[in-house]
Amino acid sequence: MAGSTSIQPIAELLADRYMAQHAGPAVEVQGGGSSAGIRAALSGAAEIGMSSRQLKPEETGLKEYLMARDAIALIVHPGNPVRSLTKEQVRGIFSGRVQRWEAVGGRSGAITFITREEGSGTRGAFEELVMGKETEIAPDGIVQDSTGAARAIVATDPDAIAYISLGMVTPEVAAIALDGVQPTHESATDGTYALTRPFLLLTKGEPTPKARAFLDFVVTPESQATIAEEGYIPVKPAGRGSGA
Amino acid sequence: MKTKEWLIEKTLLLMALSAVAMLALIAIFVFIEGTPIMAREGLGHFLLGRKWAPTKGSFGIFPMIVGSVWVTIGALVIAGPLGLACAVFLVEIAPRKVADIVRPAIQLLAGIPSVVYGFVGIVVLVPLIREHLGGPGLSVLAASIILGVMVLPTVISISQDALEAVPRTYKEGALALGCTHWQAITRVILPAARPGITVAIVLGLGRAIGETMAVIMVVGNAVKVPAGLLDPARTLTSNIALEMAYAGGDHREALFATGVVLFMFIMLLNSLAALRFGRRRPSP
Amino acid sequence: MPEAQLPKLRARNLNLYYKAFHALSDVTLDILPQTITAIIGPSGCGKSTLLRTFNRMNDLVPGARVEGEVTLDGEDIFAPTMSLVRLRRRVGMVFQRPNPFPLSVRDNVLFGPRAHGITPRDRLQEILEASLKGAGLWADVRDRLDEPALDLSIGAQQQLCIARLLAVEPEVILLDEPCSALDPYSTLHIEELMRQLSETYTVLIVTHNMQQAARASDRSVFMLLGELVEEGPTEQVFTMPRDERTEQYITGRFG
Ligand SMILES: Nc1ncnc2c1ncn2[C@@H]1O[C@H](COP(=O)(O)OP(=O)(O)OP(=O)(O)O)[C@@H](O)[C@H]1O
Ligand SMILES: [Mg+2]
Repeated sequence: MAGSTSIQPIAELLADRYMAQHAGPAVEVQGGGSSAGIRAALSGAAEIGMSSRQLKPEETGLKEYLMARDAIALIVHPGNPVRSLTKEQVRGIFSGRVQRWEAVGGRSGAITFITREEGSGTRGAFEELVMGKETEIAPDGIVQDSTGAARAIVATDPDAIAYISLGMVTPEVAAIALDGVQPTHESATDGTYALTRPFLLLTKGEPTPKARAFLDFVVTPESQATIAEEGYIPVKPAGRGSGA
Repeated sequence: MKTKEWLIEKTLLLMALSAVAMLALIAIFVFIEGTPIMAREGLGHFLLGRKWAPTKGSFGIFPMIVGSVWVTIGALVIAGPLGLACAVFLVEIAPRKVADIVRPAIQLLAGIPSVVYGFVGIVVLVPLIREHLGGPGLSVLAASIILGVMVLPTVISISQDALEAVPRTYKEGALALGCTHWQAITRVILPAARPGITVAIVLGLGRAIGETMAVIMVVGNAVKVPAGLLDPARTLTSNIALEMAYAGGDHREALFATGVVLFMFIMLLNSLAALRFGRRRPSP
Repeated sequence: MPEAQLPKLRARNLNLYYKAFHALSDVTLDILPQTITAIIGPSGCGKSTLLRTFNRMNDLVPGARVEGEVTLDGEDIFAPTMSLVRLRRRVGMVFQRPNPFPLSVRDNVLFGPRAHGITPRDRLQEILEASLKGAGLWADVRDRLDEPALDLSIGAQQQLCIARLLAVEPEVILLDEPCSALDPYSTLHIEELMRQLSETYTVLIVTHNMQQAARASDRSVFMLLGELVEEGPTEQVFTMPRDERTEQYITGRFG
C-alpha cells in the first residue's frame, strides 16, 4: 500500500499488528502523498492506495473504504476568553500576519502560535485544510514535535494557540470553535466542522483477497480502538474507549 | 603463555580497531549522504542561508548554526562557573559527610533521562521565564538553563577529579606560607587543576552541543536567528531530530548535511581542546 | 649559647591526639632563637607531628586535638586571638619533598608576598633577588626566572622552596627532613645554607640522618614513642647522652 503520509504512520502500526496476527505475505506501507496513492492504486502499483482527501470527480474507477477521520482542533489556554475564530483569522495567525490577541477579540497580548515540524501529518492536514495553497505557516513560529509538548505549552501559556488532533484534546486546554462550529465527535463525523478529512483506503475494482483481509482487519473493533488511541476518529463503534 | 598473551593483545587490538572503524563508517556515511546537497546548493548558501523550507527547496541552516552556538555558550556560562564552584565546594570546603551525600546525588542527576529535563523545562521553567522576563518562554535562555543543568554532573565530576588530583603538597605549601584557604584555592589549586578543568568544560560543551531531546522541548525550534536570550531558536541537533522521521529526498540529504556541520563543530572543539593541552604538561 | 637567652618557641605539657591515638605525650621543650635544633628519633615517634604543631599545620588533620601550651615569643599560639595567617608567616615550613608550585621560578618566590598584598614592582623585585640569594640559588636561576619551577633539579627545587619561605620573612623555619629526597651534594649545600640562616632565623630540623644532626645542629632533641626523651647541646647528646635509650638509638642499636 502507498499514499498519504498522514495515514502512513497509523497504517504502518496497523500493518505491524496485522502481520503479527496473520501468517502470509508481508504488508508493505509506503508514503508519497495522497495523489501518488491514488495514482498507485489506479495503476496497480499498490494494491491499496491511501488518500487523506476526498477523490476529485475525475478520479474514478476506485473503490473507497473509510478507515478513520482526522479532525484537527485549535486549542488555547482555558483562561483565554477567545473561544471562536474564523478560518481567515486562524490563517492570519499562523502566517504571522495577525500577531495580537486583541486583533481577534481577545485580551491584549502577543500571540504565540505553535506549529508542528515539517513532514508531520497533523501539520500537513492543517496546511491543507486551513492555510491552503497560497499561504505558508510563518517560519519563525514555535515548532514542537509532539502533540504532548504542544498541548503542555498551551496548558501553561495564556497567550498560546496550537493545533492538535481532536482525539488528543484534554481538559487542561480548551478547544475552540471554528467559524462558529465547536469541534466534537459529531460535528467532525457529520462534516459540519471544517477541519476534518477522511482517511481513505482505495482499491482498483474489487480488492485482492490479500487486500480484502487487511481492509477487514482495519475495521475490527481492536483496530478502531487503536485508531482512537492515536487521536483519530474511528468510523465503527470500537470495543473499548470508543468515545474519543 | 606467549600465545595466550599474543591472543589477548590481538583481540584487544581488534576490538579497538573495530570501534574506530565503526566511528569512521558512521562519519563516512553521514558525509556521503550530506555533502552532495551542500555542493548542489553551494556551501555558502547552505551555511549562510536564512530560509529553511526544506519541502519547498530552501535549505539555509544559518539560523540553526547561530541557535546552536547561542544555546551551547549559554549552557556553558551556566554550567562552567556553577560546576566549578560546586566541585571546589565538594573537594575543598564541604565537610566529608556533606560531600558524601551530595556526590551521589549529582551522579543521580546525570542518570535522569533528558525527556524528564525537557518536561520540567516546559512545565516549570518556560512559564517562569515567560511570566518574569517576557517573550514566549520557549527560548535560548530556557534551553541554556536546562542544558546547563544537564551538563552540570559532567562538569562537576571531572573538575572534582582534577581538583583531587592536585597534590596535597601544593595546598600545604601555600598554607605554610601563611595563605588563607581561599588564597590556596584560587592561587594554587585551581591553576594546577586547569588542564583537568578544561577537559571538564570541553566534555560538557560536547554534551551540550549534542543533546537533543530536552532542547527540542524548550527551545521553541523557530527557524529564525534569535535576536536575544528570550527569543526562540532552533539548534542543529533539533533540526535533524525534528524532521528526520518523515524526510525524503533533498530534505533528508539536507538533514544529513546539517549533521556534517554538527560533526565539524565538534571536531573543531576537540582540536581546540587538544591544542590547548599540548601546550604545557605539568611534570610530577 | 648564652644561657640567659629567652626561648623563641616554648612547649609546655604538650599532648596531641589523632582521634584516639596519642601521638605526643607531655612534651615540654624550649627552642632557642638563632639556633639550629635537630629533632631525631625512630620513624613514627612524632617528630613531624611536633614540628607541625609549631605552625599549626595539624589543624588540617581531621580529628587532631591538642592539649597543653605552645608559645611563640611568649604568645600562646592556640589563643583565639592568634591569627593562623600571621602565625604561619612567622613560623615557616619546608617539606620533605620539594613542593614548588607549578608556576615559574619567579611566581613561586613571589607567591607569599603577593598573597600578602605586596604589589610595588621594585619591592617585589628586591624580595625576589634577596630571597633567592638567601637560599643560595640566585646565581643558578637569575637567567631562568620565568621558566617552570618544576624544570629545576630536585635539589634546586628544595632551595627554591626555602627562597619562597624567606620571601615572607619568617622568624622560625621548620624543616621536615628537607634533604631526604636530595643527593649528598645538594644535602651539603642545604646544610651550609641552614648554618647561614641560623644567624638570622630560628631553625628546627627533623632528620633521620645522625651525621647530619651531629654536624649541622647546635642542639638536639631525641624523641621516642611520642615522648621527649632527651634535649641538650648536640655535642652532649651525641657524646654523653644522659638517657640510656638515647645512647642505644645513637649507637644504632634500634630505630
Ligand atoms: N594524620 C594522622 N592521622 C593519624 N595518625 C597519624 C597521622 N599522622 C601521623 N600519625 C601517627 O602519629 C605518629 C607520629 O607520626 P609522625 O609523622 O609525627 O612521625 P615521624 O616521627 O615524623 O615519623 P617519620 O620519621 O616516619 O617521618 C605515627 O604513629 C603516625 O602513624
Ligand atoms: Mg616525619
